[in-house]
Amino acid sequence: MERSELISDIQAYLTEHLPQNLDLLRQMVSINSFTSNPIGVNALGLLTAETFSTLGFEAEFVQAADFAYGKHLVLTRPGRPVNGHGSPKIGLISHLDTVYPTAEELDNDFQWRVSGKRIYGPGVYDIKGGTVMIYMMLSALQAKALAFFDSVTWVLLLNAAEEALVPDFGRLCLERLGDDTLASLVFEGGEAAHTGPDEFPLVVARKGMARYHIRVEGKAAHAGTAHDHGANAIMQLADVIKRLSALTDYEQNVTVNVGTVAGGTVINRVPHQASASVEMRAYSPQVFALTSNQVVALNEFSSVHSANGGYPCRVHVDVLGEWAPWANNGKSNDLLQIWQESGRQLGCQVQPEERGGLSDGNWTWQSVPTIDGLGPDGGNAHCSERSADGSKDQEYILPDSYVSKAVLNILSIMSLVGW
Amino acid sequence: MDTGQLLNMEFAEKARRTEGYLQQNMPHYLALLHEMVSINSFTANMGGVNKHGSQVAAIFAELGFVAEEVQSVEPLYGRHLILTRRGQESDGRPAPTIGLVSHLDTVFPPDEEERNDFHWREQGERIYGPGIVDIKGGTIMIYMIMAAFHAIHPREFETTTWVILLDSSEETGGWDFGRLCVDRLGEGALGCLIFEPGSWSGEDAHVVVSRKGMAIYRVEVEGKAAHAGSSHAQGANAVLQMADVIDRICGMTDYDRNLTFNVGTVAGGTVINRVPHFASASVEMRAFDEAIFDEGVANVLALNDLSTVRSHDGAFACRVTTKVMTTVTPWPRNPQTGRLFEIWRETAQLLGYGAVGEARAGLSDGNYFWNELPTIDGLGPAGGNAHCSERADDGSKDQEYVLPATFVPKALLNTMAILNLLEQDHE
Repeated sequence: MERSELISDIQAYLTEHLPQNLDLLRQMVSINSFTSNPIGVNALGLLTAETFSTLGFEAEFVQAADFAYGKHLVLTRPGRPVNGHGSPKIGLISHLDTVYPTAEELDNDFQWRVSGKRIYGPGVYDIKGGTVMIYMMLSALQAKALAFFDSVTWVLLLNAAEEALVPDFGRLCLERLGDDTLASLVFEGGEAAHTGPDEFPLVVARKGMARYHIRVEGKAAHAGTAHDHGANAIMQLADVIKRLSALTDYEQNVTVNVGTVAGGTVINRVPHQASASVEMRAYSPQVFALTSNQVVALNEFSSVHSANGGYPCRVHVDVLGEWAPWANNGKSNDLLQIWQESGRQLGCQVQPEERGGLSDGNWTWQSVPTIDGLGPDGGNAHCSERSADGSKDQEYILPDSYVSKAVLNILSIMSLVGW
Repeated sequence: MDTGQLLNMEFAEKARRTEGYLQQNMPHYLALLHEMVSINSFTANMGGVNKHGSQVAAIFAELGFVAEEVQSVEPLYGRHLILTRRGQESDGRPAPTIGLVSHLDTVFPPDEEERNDFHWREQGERIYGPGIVDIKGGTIMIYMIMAAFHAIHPREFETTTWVILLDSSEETGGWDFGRLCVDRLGEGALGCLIFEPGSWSGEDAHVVVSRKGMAIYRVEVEGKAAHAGSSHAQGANAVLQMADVIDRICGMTDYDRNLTFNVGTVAGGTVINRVPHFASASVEMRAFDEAIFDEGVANVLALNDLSTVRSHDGAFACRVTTKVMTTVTPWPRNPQTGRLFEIWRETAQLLGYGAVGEARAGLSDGNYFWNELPTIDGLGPAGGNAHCSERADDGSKDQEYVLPATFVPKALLNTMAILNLLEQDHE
C-alpha cells in the first residue's frame, strides 16, 4: 500500500471513530480524578486499563510512593520481533490526575459541555484528551497498519500524581523504558491560543524547578522594655527576600519567586521566627545549578543581630525538592525534525516551543529522546472559573484538532521506527 | 531650737507613728492581697474582673468610700471602679482632690495560671502570684495609705476628697478610662498618683516621671498575582515590596533618640508557585519625646507613596499603604510631674533615703492624662517578672512576684509625701 493511501485510510478511520472516542473522553471527564482523590484516580486507571485491554495491552498498577495518592498505571503490549531484529520500543506518557477537587467542579458548574468548536470539562485538555489521543492512534494502527502495530513494543505510562510532580513516577518511567527506547512521547496538549488551525507547537524543552523553605531564627524580646535584646527575625527575612529576588535574571531565563511569608506572634514582641517559601525556575542546567547553589549558600547566613550585639539571627534553607530542567538538546530536536518532516507531507506547520511549566518529560529527556505537546489543542488548563464578560473561562479542547494531530503523530512514529 | 528643727521633729514623729501602724497591720494587708490574687481577673475574663471590683469596693467601704461602676466602652471587658470619699471644708476652704489610680485586670488567662501552677506562693523574700505586683499589690498599697490616713492623720483624711480609680482593662490600653479619670478628678486635682510597681534599689525608691508613647501601624502591600512559572514577568511581588518596606521601617529605629520600631508580624502570599499579590505587616513604634514621636509617625505615613517593586514587564507597580491604627502619646518629663517628683524626693530625703525619677518604655494609664492632671507613677511595691507565668528549673524563666518588705517603706513614703503635698497646697 502506498504511504498516501495509508494516510487517507487512517484519516478516514479516525474521522469515522471520532464520535466514539469523544464519548470515551466524556466518560473519563465524568470521573473526578483530582490528585488527592486517589479513589477517583484509581477508578480512572481501571477505565483506562479496560479500554486499552481491547487493543491487547496488559495492565500493571504501581502505588505512588506517597500513599495519599493513587496508583500509577503501566500498560504494555510487547512487539513481535521482525526479521530477527529486536522489537523497537516506544514510550507514551500521560497522567491520570487533574487539579480540580470535586467541590470546585460543583462550585463552578464545571462539567462536560460542548459549545461551538470547543468541549469544556475538568481535565479535558490536561490531560484526558491526551490519553484519548493515544487510544485513537493505537486503535487506528491496529485497524489499518496491523503489521506495524504488532512489530512495536508499546509502553504506556500514566502518572497518578503528575500535578504533584512526584519523583517516583520519573524513576518508574526510566525503569520501564530503558536505554533502548526510541522515544518518550508526552501527550500534554498544544496551546490553541498560540497557534493557527494548521500549526502544531511541540515542546522540546521545559524549565526546571527547585522549591525551598526558608526559616529564620531570631530572639524574642518585649518591644517596649527590651527592644535592644531582641533580634528581629522578620527584619532578617526581609534581607533574605531581597537577596533571593535579586537572583532573578531574565537574560539567563532564571526566575525566583518568594511565594509566601509569615512571621511573628504579637505586635509588642520582637519576633523570634519568620519563614518563607521560595520557588526557582530555569531552562539551563548550568544556570539552574548555579542559582540553586546561591540559594543554599544562604543557609547559616546572618546580617541582623540584636542591638545589644548579643544575638545574631540565623537563616536556615531547606530544599523541599528539585526538578532538573529539560534542556534544549539534540535528541529532542531530532524528534522535532521527524515531526516537522511529517508535517510538511501533511501540509501543516510544526513549531518548537519551550515551556515554563514542568511535565513528566523533565524526568525522561536525559535517558530517552523526548518530545511533548502531542495531545489535542486546547486552552485554559487548570482553570475552572467562568465569568460573564469572558475574562475568565474554563479548560477546553478543540475536538477538530484530533484527527490531523493523530495522523501527524502516527506518521512521525512510523518514520521514527523506519517504516 | 528653730522652726525648721521643730518641723522636722514633727515630721519624724508622724512618720514614726505611721510606720508603726503600717507595720502592725501588715499581716492583714497581705491577707487581703492573698484574697485578691486568688480571683482571676484576666482582662477578657469579665466576670472575674467584676468580682475583683466588688471585692475592692467592699474593702474600701469600711473606710467610707462610695463605689461607682462604669462599664468599659468595650462590651467584652468588665466595669471600671471609682471609689470616692468626699472631703469636708476646713477653715472655709473646699477640700482638695487627690486621685489614686490602679487597675483591676491582669494579663493571665485562667488556663495559663493552671498550666503553669501559678498561684500565691511565699518563698524566701518573695511572694509569687498572678497580678501580685501588676497591680494588685499597688491596690493594697492604696489601701494601706488610706488606712494610715484614717488612723493616724484623721484631720487630713477628712478634709481631702479622695478618688480611687481602677481600670477594668488597662492591659489592653483602652482610651476611655483616661477620659473617666479627667472627668472625675477635674482640673483642680492636686495630683493623680499611679500605683504601678516601682523598684527599690539599695537606698533609693524608684518612681516613674515619664513613659514612652506608642503608635501601632498596619502596613499593606498590593502587588499583582501571576503564575510563577509561565508568567513570572507579569507578576509584581508584594512580599518583595514588603521586604523593602520592613527594611526601611527597621532602619528608623534610633536608640540615641530613644525611638524604636518593631515589625511584630508579617504575612503574605497564597501558594509557592504564584507571585504573591498581597502582604501585610503590623508595626509598633515607641518614643519618649513628642517631637520625635510625631516625626516617627510622619516618616511611616510617608511610606504611603512608596513603590520600589514593579512587575518585570513594567506594567504594574506595587502599592504600599500604611495606616495608623492607634496612637498613645508619650508622657514626657514635664513641670507638673516634676513638681510632684520634687515632693517625693524631699520626703524620701527626710525619711533617710533617696528617690529616683525613672523614664519607662512601657505604657500606663498615665499616658492618657499626664497633660491634664499632675501625674506621678510607680508608687506601688517593688517586685519583678511582671506578665510572666512560666518557671524553669534553671531559673532562666520565673513567675511574677512582689517583695513584701517594700510595702511598708513605700507606703510610708507615699503617705508622708501626700501629707507634704496637702501641706504645700494649704500654704
